[in-house]
Amino acid sequence: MTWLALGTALWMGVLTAISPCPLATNIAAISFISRQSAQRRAILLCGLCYALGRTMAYVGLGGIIMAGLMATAQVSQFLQTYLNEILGPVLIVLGMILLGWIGPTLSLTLAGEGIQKRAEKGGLLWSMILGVLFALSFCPVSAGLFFAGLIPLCVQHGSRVWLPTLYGVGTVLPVLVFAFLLAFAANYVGKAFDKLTIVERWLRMGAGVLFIGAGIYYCLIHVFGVSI
Amino acid sequence: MEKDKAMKAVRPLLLAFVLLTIGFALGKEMALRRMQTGSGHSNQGKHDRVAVYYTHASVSCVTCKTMERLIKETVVEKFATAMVDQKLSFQKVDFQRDKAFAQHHQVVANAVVVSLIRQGKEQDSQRLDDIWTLHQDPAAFKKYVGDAIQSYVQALEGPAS
Repeated sequence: MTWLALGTALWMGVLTAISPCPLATNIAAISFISRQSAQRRAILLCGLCYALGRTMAYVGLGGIIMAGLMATAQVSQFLQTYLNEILGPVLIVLGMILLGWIGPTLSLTLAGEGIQKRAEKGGLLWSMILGVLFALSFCPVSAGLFFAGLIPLCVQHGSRVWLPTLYGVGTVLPVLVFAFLLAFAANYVGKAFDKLTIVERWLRMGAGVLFIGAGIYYCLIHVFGVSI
Repeated sequence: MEKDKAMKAVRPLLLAFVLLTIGFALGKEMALRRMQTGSGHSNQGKHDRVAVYYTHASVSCVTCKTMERLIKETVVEKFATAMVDQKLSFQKVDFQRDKAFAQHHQVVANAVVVSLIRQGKEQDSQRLDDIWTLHQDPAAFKKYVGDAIQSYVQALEGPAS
């Protein structure tokens, strides 16, 4: 495997992340990761778990295709059609959970009174699940770069792990940079004005509202066929 | 409290929207499955030609539109005469709806499919996936697509195999 192949995989991942089509999910991911601005460790772990989820999804998918268990066209068609349709309602429900509007008694509650204590349990698990879910919700650009760009590259170099991993890392890098910047800026403002709790509450609410907004956007685009 | 009132008003609306979306998605899927009786793209017409298809997803994107424009420009700039002589046709195909076409050409994402048609039947075809790595370089993109179409136009003008 050449450095060129490794660099190409990483660059294709970055291109996927910075293209406008996965913008809604990227914004949701940024707001989710940065919502606990006061706890640097929690933000870092959330970001890493999100990255791990995304990378695992790409490695798993690449492995399934390269092992010949499923045809590329079959997988691509299925994910592009159904995952995006499922994602909208899921994001709305997750947003409502983040706002504490439903399921405050569920064990995997994302918001509510015990968020600080549960942050490193439920938060991390949900970060990973979100990573997997967002990675598998292919939009035209991510589908093109993954199925038509990365998979042939993996086949050419016989790489089942390294190239999909680098692609996954590439898709996460811009999101993590923005999430950390947002969290640290909010933390700085919160500390400067001695209003850290309020800032955190607003960030959490913002994340919930953004999830709902992204969910409605996905429903309108992918289910109702509205062109925005 | 104001916030509780807002929550009480918005929550049922959002849940209703979620249920409506799920119901609509299921209904749409059932209707699409019933409609999948045949391929949507037209292979009718007995005249021999090269068919160029731009396969795209149901949802469009900025890059998708750029690629479509570059493909159209390639066809118009390099194959205008062939188009007028009806030796070449261009068509867009939604590969998420036209599943027969997608399966036949193993379409994985937006792509160009070039197909040689003689007497209404496809004799040969090629899928151009590298448009994804070339779309930022219009000259290379047009050369890649143009060369592939050109080889098919030459095959059309040659003897039938």
